[in-house]
Amino acid sequence: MTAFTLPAPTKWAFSARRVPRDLAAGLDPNVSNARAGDLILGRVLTVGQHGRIQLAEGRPATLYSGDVIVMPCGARYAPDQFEGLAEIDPEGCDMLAGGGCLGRMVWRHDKMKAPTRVQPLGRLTNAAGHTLTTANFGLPTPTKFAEIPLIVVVGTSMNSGKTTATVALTHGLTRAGFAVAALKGTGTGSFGDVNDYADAGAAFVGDFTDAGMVTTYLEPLERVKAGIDTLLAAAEAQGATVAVMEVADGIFQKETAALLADPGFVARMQGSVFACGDAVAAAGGVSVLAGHGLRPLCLTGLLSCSPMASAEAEAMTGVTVVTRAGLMDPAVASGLLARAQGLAAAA
Amino acid sequence: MVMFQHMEAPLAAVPQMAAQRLLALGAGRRLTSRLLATDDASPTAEPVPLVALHGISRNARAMWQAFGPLAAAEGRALLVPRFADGQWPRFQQIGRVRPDLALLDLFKQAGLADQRVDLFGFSGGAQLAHRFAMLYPHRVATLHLAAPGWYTLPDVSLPWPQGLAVAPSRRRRAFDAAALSRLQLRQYLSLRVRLWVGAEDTARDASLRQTADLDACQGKTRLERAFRYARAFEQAARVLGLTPDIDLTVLPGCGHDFTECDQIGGLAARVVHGG
Repeated sequence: MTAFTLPAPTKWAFSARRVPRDLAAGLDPNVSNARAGDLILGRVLTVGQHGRIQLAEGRPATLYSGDVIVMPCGARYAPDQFEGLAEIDPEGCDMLAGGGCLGRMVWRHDKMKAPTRVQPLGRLTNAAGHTLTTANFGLPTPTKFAEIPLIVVVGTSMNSGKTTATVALTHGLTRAGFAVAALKGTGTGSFGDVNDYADAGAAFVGDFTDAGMVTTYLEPLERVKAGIDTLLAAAEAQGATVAVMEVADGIFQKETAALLADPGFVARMQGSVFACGDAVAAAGGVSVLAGHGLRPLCLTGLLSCSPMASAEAEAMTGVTVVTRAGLMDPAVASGLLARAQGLAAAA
Repeated sequence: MVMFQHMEAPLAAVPQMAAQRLLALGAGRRLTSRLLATDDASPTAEPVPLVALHGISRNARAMWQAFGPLAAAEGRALLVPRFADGQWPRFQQIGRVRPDLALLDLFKQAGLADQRVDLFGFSGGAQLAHRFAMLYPHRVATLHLAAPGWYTLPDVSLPWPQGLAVAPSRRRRAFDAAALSRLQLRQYLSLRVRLWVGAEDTARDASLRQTADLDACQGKTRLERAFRYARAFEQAARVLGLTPDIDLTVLPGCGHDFTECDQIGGLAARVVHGG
């Protein structure tokens, strides 16, 4: 370990925002055994796919070769971008996400450029020489489970409309007078989603990074569930009366599929919303969810932009399609919540 | 854009500490309202705000004058919106035009974004009040319905808007108040509801909606319709296993006139004191 002073300026990533910078008192040059969450100090070698970093301050910053950055080590699952593992090669590692995630790229989408390359300089440590890791800076572990109703937003894949649906439903419920917690239960740390939640009027905003994770990819199911419980408890403690939670990626993604197959998680939610792009996807999604004992409150997403596709989906599934404007309508949002609570009570 | 304007003529009986403002919505249709704000420094628990909705005569001033001093004396916030004729020709119903959205925005601007309110309506205002409560039962503490001309019954077998069955001709993707009200029916039937009607409110004048179906189903006068509504509400609640909390008060010597119901029947005081 080497004592050091954090260079100025250092671009500190959003996903590391909960770790106070003034705790960084040392640098451990041994990065090869870094684990997900460990804060890595690095220098940008070449700018590739991610030309910008989301800063802890909540704004994006352009990256240049030679920039000093702090990002956590983490895995990434993003079918439209990269798959990567939480591994740091001392010779150079990959920037897997703009919100801050360093690791080793495994696959990339055909449309993606090579990842931005970073020379790791070491793991940040505190004055006692302990590695600074995001897991130690999450919200406190709850002493009791939250009881606020929970509506979960799932979808076919990235970019199917889940965030749009989460934001719209949050806005509709807020306008109806509910104190809404807008949460992201799984995925990759990014301020875009949580900023959108806040802009929609959410009374509480949080994601898995608030529970100490950089991403949820390859995290054990129990840890992911504990993170969700932590977020719900914090939301309830701050006065939220209902939670809307986005679950990232598609319903076949590893952690999402595990959550939906978990009876405890399914029992915890009062209802689900399914976002998809067309009627075939709607039929498939509704069928898969039925296998988990779930029937969505409504279908939404890109599908809802097309009245004809919506009609096909409703005919095939019997589930109503609700547009973004519909979810934003306080009467519609209140009705969906009432339906969710009624179904949960009946079950 | 939200605009706050001081009223030109403050209510004499209202203490000076109470703010009196007009609120206006900046987008779409404008809705103005008188607001009696509570004293934020009050150490006691804040009483439930009261919202009073006028009828088709749009006489919000009479409501302000009746409820204002009583609300001020109890430290209750009071909102008395006025649906202007040109902007809201049919404010009683929620459908293609959405007075519910204007009311929600008004609540927010008045600092009541997440509070339950006591919702009072007279005549057409009572029509809007109960339709609002069917969509947003979580926003209502006590629902006071005074002499509405007719009701949307909590009956899923009757076509909208008399009941909550889906209208067969409903345009796809149109706002479906019947379906949404059905989803909230249990919560609505769990509300505390107080019905008020004048004993002499029996005229079948031009302001009373009269059709053969409506007369047969709800009765021929407001008095008769109030009794039938109370019965329908009770029955619907019991079908769902609920204990209805609905009460009908007939005001002796009163016809279909808010001021008369207040001055002779003590309506405003009864509402403010809980019904």
